[in-house]
Amino acid sequence: MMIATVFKTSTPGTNSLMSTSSFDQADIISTVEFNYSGDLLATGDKGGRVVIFQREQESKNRPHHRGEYNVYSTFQSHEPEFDYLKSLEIEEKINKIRWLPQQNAAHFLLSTNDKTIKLWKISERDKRAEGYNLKEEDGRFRDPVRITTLRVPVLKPMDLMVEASPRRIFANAHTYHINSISVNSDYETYLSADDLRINLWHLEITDRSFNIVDIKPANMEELTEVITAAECHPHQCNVFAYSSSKGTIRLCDMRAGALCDQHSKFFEEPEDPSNRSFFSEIISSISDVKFSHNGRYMMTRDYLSVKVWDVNMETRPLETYQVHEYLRSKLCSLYENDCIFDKFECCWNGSDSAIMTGSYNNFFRMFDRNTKRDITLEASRESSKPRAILKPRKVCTGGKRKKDEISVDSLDFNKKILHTAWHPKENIIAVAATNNLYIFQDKVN
Amino acid sequence: MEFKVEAHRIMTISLGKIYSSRVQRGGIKLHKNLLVSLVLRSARQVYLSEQEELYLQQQQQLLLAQPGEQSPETWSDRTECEPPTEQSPSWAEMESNISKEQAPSWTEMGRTDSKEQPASWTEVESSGYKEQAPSWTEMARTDSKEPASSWTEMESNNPEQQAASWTEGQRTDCQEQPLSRVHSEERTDRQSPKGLEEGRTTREPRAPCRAVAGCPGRLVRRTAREQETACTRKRRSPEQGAAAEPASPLKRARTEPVVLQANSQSEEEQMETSSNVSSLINIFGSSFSGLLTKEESEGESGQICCDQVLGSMGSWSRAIVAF
Repeated sequence: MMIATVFKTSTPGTNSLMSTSSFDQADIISTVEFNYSGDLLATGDKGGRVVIFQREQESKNRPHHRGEYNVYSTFQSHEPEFDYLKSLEIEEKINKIRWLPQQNAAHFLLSTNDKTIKLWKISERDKRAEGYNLKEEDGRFRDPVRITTLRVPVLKPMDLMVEASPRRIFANAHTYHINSISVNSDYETYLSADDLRINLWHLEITDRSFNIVDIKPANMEELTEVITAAECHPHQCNVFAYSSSKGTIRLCDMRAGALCDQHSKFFEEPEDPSNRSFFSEIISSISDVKFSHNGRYMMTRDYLSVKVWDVNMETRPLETYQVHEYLRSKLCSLYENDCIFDKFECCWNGSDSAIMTGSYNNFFRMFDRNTKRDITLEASRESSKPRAILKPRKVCTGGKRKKDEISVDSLDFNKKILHTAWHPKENIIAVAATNNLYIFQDKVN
Repeated sequence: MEFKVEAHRIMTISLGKIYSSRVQRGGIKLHKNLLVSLVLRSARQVYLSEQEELYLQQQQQLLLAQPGEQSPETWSDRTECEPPTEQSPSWAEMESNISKEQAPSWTEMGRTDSKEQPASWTEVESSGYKEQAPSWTEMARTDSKEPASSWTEMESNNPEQQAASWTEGQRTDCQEQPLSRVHSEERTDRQSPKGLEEGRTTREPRAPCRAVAGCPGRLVRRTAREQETACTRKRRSPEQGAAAEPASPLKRARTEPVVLQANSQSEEEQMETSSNVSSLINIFGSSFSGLLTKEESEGESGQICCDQVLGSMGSWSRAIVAF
């Protein structure tokens, strides 16, 4: 069981002192992702900005600040665009960020909005060349006549400057809204998925991509399902999986053919007929699919539950965890206020022994797969003073409400945690609650 | 009964969502609209199956109450908008003016009927949504599993047969109606064009009864007949592999609003007169006058419907007098 210690809360936006009800819509965090080492944490927001946090290195001078995440770089990744042909506005909201493994001093990440994927290079500059021959230090050009000697410019240290520059722009490949990107384990290719198609890109080539999955029917009126998420296998660069709005997952092998419309494995759990309602289809739609780090399992998130699948067993999931089953009786009102369409994400911990996902009222849930225990925690300013220990929360589903419990009717459905991330090696989690980012760490005494 | 109310409410909400999704930023979200259309479909199936039960119940009651009178039965036939087993005399009168085959008329009726249902919901929501005609077209297409017409629009850049697919959608829509009646538990499955033709012939006898009361039905048939030839023309085109005819869907789109408004007016009237036979005259009168005032504001298309309505009033007033 995790006891979380809060050691930093930060608000990327400008309205950190204002209440959440009056924040700028553009500050809503839309994606959170740790890099491969866990030293960097990237967040994307609705306004098209990317904010990168860096973990402070352990130092003797500031022993209490070890492991704190501070803002490292902020840049505008995407701008709002207008498609003149279709008279459609293209939102600048960052849908996903995926890091590339580090190969040199610079860091690379992919960020995408609905239509365009960009490869960003984030590099540090902490040295400056001084002693140029042709220009002064302030930039003015020297009169060549006056130059009598030559000197070699010397590198001098300067204040750290982090620069982000777009190195590749992968555009015009998706007719529908991009929902996922995933870097392949070969570190050369990546896939991008929209509602009906999945494309495979090479990181160096921007003017073309391979279409590997196309589920668009010849007659659009026959459309019955869409792709909701896609991910590459962590080790096998020929394998990827994608989930659908019908609650199914397909595993595809790119060696089988150029087009992977035929799946290699098909994962579906038969529906429980006793739970049938008007909204059965909506709540069975999968909002996120994630491979485990060891590649043996897959986790899917639908509206009410998280399921862990064994990649080798297609008939039913290995484990099912109910996230907020008490909402099943409220589906009609959740349909009315659009909450039923919320796309929750899920994530594994580094050792694949625990999983985490978000819920409403700024609650998030963690499930230990070995002990089968679960915990509900809240990400809020009141309960998250720095260094405070998070208290487990409980939702009262019926009967007498105990002290400290919250009844289902008093849950705030505007406070939803859709995006969470777990450090790849340590027990550090990042939780995005609307426009606030909370970073929690497991305190080991 | 509660399911019907619930289903109706869900349908109204779903339509509202589809409508508002068209104006939101970022374009239409395919996934969300697909899910909303699935909910709409489920709710509609429940609603229609309840409607059918209700109609059958009322039929039985009427038969028990007044077995001799022909007019009230025919009246309720029309007002229920369900497939009655017999045809009313005034229907026959109107039909005699129109000469055409059964199969196309069924298609039109089926199509009209499938449109009527959403039109009535649109009426309910008319306070919120002023532009009925265009949004209504969207909802009609929603019925045929296309959550938003802009999906087809999104494909307009691709060299795909947009016109053909639109036609197919309409035809499939016709097919769905009888399916949902007969097999109310089943989900309506997609029918191939071949299957459509077969289905159509088997369902002929039910065809004329389905239409709305009054001359709006006539209007529908007339314009629909014009469209029918365009339909058959286009239906053959995918089979022949011919290219799509972009001109025809435009023509259809223009005639659509006329048909739609006619149907929506008649549907409103229908919903209102479906309750009590004894108070039918009052309701009928007010709804007609309501129809007239609304139609005048709609302009030319409304004018056509207005004339048609006035023309048929004579036959109906005869029926009322008899009752």
